[in-house]
Amino acid sequence: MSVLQVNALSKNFGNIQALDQVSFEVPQGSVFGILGPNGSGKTTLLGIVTEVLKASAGNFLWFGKVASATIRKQIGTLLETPNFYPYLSGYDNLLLRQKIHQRGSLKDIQEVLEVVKLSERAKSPAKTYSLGMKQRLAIAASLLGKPQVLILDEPTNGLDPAGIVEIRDLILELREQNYTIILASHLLDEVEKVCTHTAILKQGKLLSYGKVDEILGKGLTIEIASSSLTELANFLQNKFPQATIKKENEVLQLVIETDSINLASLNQSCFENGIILHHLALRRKTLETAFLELTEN
Amino acid sequence: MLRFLQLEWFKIRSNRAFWIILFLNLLAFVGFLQVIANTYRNVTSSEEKNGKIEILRPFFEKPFSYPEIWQTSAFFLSFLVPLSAILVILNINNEWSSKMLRQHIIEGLNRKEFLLSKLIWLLVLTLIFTFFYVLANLFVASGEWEFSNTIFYFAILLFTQLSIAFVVALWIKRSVLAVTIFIAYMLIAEPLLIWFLKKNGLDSIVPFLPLEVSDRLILPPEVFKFFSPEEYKKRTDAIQEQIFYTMLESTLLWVFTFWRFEKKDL
Repeated sequence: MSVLQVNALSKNFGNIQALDQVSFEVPQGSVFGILGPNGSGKTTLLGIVTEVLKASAGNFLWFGKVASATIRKQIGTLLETPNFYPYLSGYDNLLLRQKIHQRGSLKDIQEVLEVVKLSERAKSPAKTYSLGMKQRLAIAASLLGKPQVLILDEPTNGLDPAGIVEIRDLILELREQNYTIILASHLLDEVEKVCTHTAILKQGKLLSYGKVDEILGKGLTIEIASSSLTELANFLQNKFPQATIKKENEVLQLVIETDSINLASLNQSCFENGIILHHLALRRKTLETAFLELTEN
Repeated sequence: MLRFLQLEWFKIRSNRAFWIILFLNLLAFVGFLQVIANTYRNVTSSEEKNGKIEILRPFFEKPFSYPEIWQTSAFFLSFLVPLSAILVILNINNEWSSKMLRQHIIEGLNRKEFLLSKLIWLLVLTLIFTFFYVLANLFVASGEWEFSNTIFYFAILLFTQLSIAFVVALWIKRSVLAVTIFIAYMLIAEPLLIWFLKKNGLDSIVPFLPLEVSDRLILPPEVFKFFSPEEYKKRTDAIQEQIFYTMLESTLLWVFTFWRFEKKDL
């Protein structure tokens, strides 16, 4: 069952087309990463599905139903920047949120504050918080009352490396608890580590979407070098006729459409043909390379 | 309805700026009326000593005594609406600047509910400022308490003009700009427009201008009868009509705001 179904969603701001016929589905229990360069339409898309922006065309369904305030109450959202009343304490800000979405109890506020390690500063006004603390408070606000879906737009913004690791671990923990999480991020490494599914946007268009494994494909890249690169290249071309071979900085990049390869056997084979390798390394295709391939073409 | 009021109360109870401006409003209401009353009393008592007051007595009859004080004070205190409007504008600006307006929608408040909570809050503010008006009268008035319909008229004027300030703040997200536009319209643009319309023989349009429509609920102190008795009588007779137009203006303003806000990107 899909939690969110987006159908041919478009959005224009004057002459600028921020989203162009975007369609995808977010499966229940998935961690769905929305990737794209700046201005690709990620936040616009999330703004529409959280109903702060109006779509120019298309529609979307939450849990198979037309969006409504009642449905939004079941969704924990951190959109763009952490938003709080600066003069209210962290605790009071969460209490106010709870009064609106009516999820959870007072005990839950204490719990989420502990999860994001803000219990000690709970009574301080939000304006005294650092950016990282505000970000953590916003994550606490979105977790409050255990919503069915979490929307996190750049959740690691403003966090130090330790904070980023904490948030990543938290997302993984939530994934284990079968939360559905929609995550927009620039940090491809983070997305690859936590997401099960992803959608890649560029200039408002959906370039690709599906399971992360499917998007990465079966491609492997092997870096290989010897004293005679020409001889090595000829040997490899004969051995792997379907492969692509590129020369980069006195190293050959051998790209093969396969799940795995035995490097020891390749080394042995080269040796038996009189080629002595001085560099041999396996590079798996990352989300970053897949993303760059898609967005740069 | 109570829930929306609770939400608004929760937001403002720790907002120091709100309480300071509210207190300044109270001081201004009482202080301004006291200053005018004292000035009047000083002038008339010195004139009385000089034996001149007898000539003017028909026109200067007890403007600071019940029941006439309600009208006198409402007329002068209506000049303080911009100060009260600042409170309304800052309240809305607070929602924009902290992006809490969109956050509330994200959290599950629908747009109608958001506006409804603000409408209720505006009604409460109207009651508070009307209370300040009554309080200022209690401080300044002489004689025995007497009720007057002017209290209701003043409340309607406040609600209508604060609603205009609210709408300005809702569409113009920056508080300084919203306050400037509201005050500039109130103190410069509309008076100029009235002057222009009157000069060109279009007097009949004047009572329907956005602020003038409610301004006409409050008659000037009775002393103005002396300067233009016919005009004064015309305005006195037109009050019931102006109540209708003012209510109509407020209703249309809110209906339009609800309709337009539903379509707006936040």
